[in-house]
Amino acid sequence: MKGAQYSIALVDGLAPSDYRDVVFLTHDDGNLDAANVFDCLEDNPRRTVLARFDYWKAGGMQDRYFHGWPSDRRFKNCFTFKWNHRRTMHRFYGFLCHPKQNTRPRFQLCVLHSHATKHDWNTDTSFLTLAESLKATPTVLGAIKNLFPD
Amino acid sequence: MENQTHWTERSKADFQHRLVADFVNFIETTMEVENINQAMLAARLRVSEGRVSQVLNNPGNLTLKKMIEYARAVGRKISIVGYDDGDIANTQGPIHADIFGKCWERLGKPNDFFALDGFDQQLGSATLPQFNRFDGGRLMLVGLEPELKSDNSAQSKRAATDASLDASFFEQEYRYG
Repeated sequence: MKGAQYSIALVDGLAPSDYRDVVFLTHDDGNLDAANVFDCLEDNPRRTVLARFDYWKAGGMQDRYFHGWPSDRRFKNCFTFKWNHRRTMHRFYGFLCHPKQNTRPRFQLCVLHSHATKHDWNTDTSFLTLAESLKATPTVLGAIKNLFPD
Repeated sequence: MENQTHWTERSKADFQHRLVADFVNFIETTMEVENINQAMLAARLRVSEGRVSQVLNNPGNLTLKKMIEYARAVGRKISIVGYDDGDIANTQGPIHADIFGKCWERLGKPNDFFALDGFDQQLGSATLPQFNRFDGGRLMLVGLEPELKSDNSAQSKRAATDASLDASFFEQEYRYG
């Protein structure tokens, strides 16, 4: 997208970590809706999502709460956080990257960009395709580097 | 940004939700290990499956009594653990309950202070794996390097009951010199 303006939004209230962080990716056109959806969450689902951010940042593993697709070459950088609210399955989709290859190569960033509701067990791969595309977009990487200088 | 308080400091409800979320994670993990599905758990609790689903997906109001019921229904126990991680401003959030559990497991699941004393006596020959270091420079160690000093030795020796481990067991904190 020519002249596309991507921005990275930090998640307020997460603990600083040398190992992991979670951020939201937004775009001027508003199509990347994860940040806005998060800001509008009711108290309890917001707390649930934050608790799961905490758990992932701390190195926890729980496929019921978050996971990637490491075995799928097409989507190996993709990541999702999951929660249920009022009988609806919700997802934040994004990608993982290591923005500090020189100074802190182990530091892993989860960049969330899209929200979706799910109605069956199959994943809408369009979100995963978008995640991989965004990860490879220079202006996205530039926005990440601005916030996480190496 | 480094001094920003954790989201659990915003309200008691936020802090409580984080704690019960850790507990729900424990229950759900246990269910997977023990091959207990929600229908089976509901039967053990004598509630509807929908009620179990509601509790697991929206645990914010989970009471201590209910936590005990859920733990016992999956064959487990719980303890309430108080600790000092030096993070008075709560910038780091609560330590995950899993970490306390894993510490206890790696120490051989001591069920009283006598077992813990027995572990202490083996320090001279023991070099055990350590947990990641927290930013504050304080560690909740699995095992101890001999040159480390105990910073909290004020545990009164009393036998733990069979009902639960004494929570003060977990409040031992060691620093690098």
